[in-house]
Amino acid sequence: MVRNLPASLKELEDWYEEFDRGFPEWYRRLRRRAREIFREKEERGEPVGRYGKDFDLLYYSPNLPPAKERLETLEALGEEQKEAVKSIGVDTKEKERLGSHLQQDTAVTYQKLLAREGVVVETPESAVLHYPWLKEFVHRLVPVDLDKYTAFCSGFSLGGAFIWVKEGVRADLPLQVCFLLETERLAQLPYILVLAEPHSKLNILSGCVMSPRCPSALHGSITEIYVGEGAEITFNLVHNFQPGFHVRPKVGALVEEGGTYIENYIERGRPESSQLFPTVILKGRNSRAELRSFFFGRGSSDMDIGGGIIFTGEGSRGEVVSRSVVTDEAKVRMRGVLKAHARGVRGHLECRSILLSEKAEVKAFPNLSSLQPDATLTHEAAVGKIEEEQLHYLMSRGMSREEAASAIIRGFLDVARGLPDPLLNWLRGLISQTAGELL
Amino acid sequence: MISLQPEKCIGCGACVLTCPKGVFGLSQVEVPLKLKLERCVLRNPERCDSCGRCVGECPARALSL
Repeated sequence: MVRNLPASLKELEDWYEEFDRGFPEWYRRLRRRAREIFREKEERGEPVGRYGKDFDLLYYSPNLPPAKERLETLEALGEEQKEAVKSIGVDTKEKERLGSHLQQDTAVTYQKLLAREGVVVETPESAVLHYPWLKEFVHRLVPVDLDKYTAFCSGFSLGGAFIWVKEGVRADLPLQVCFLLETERLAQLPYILVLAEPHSKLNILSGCVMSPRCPSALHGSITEIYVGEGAEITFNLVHNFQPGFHVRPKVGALVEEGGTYIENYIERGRPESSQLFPTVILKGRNSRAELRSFFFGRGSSDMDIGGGIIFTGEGSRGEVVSRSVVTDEAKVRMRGVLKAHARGVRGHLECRSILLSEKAEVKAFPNLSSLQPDATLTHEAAVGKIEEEQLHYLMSRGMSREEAASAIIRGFLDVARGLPDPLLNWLRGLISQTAGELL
Repeated sequence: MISLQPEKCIGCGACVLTCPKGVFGLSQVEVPLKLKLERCVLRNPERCDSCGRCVGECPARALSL
């Protein structure tokens, strides 16, 4: 059956045709194809994605707001905006940060890189104009036709970040990349591309949040990360969204010989829906990946969270860890996929959840597949309430029941890796505060 | 007979490791930075018996029968 599509889709397509006019032919063709795929999927009435809550993407406008003025400093943000970005770990004074990149709605309004040779940060729109070879990297790791959402995001994205770390450059301070949503019914769709040349190191804090005055919107993104030989990338996604928000960050990464990719995801809010499934290809010999999600399912949130690792490099190692604390009427699904193709691979998958309410729901879907007898893949999954034995032990040491439960939740969610100390301490404080709110 | 869309390939090598007949190979893409980008090539297409294993394993959806 073919659905009738709103006339606004044609207007939107025309707007993007005009917007894309100044870009290289390969980029225009790629985005036009994405819009065609979106139209076909929309006509067939396909859901937003294979997993996660379905909703009407065209309710949201990807090109809605006018351009914002550029800021001289992050301190120039309004008080409410500052509070919002601080809630996801952004330091507006930029202490102990390599640099900052801020996008408000669809416009990049601030960018500053502290003196550091060998790290390039710019918008993807300017990067495709500067570097013709980007056609070999853009929209490859997250296929445009993966689902209706990826076609939508690839064809209608505005803004994002291009981050390029050159050979041997090792930055210890995190680069903060922040996406602030301020306009109702906006589809904020940034595209992020990270290239890490051999033996480089970078820690990215990607924080996404809404302004408290914005009641509903869609935040999506596509992130593609190439980790070169012996390079190390840590990508931290920290989100704070409230009911009325759908969240769809898609991440794909490819890791070469001896390279390491670590991802930490935390959602501290209670979005209407969130779906996240980063997929990492461990292509190089002895490459390594860790995908960690730790989050709270609260209110009536619908969260479909997990990750996948495909091992094609001999001796590669990977771990997918998902931990959640679920209460109220939240619905949580935790997925994990490990696929071994190469010899000497080791992979581990862990989905664990603490369920605090009878009205909440948690399902775990571990999936292991091996085409190689020499590979070792393991998994563990557990869903249950806080164990009475643990509670009684802590209560016997003088804690109240609430204090004991809060301490257990804090320990349960303390699984982040690869973060510099200031960020790790901030994150622990955040988990502690949110754990306290639950009880 | 297997068909490849090279513009979708990410060079992960899953097809090379999956195919029992040695149909696939990888070739390097020249880019002016030190990342090793490769793409799948049909090295021995005549050996393909259309078993379809590679299609299911390709994460980039670059292969079809």
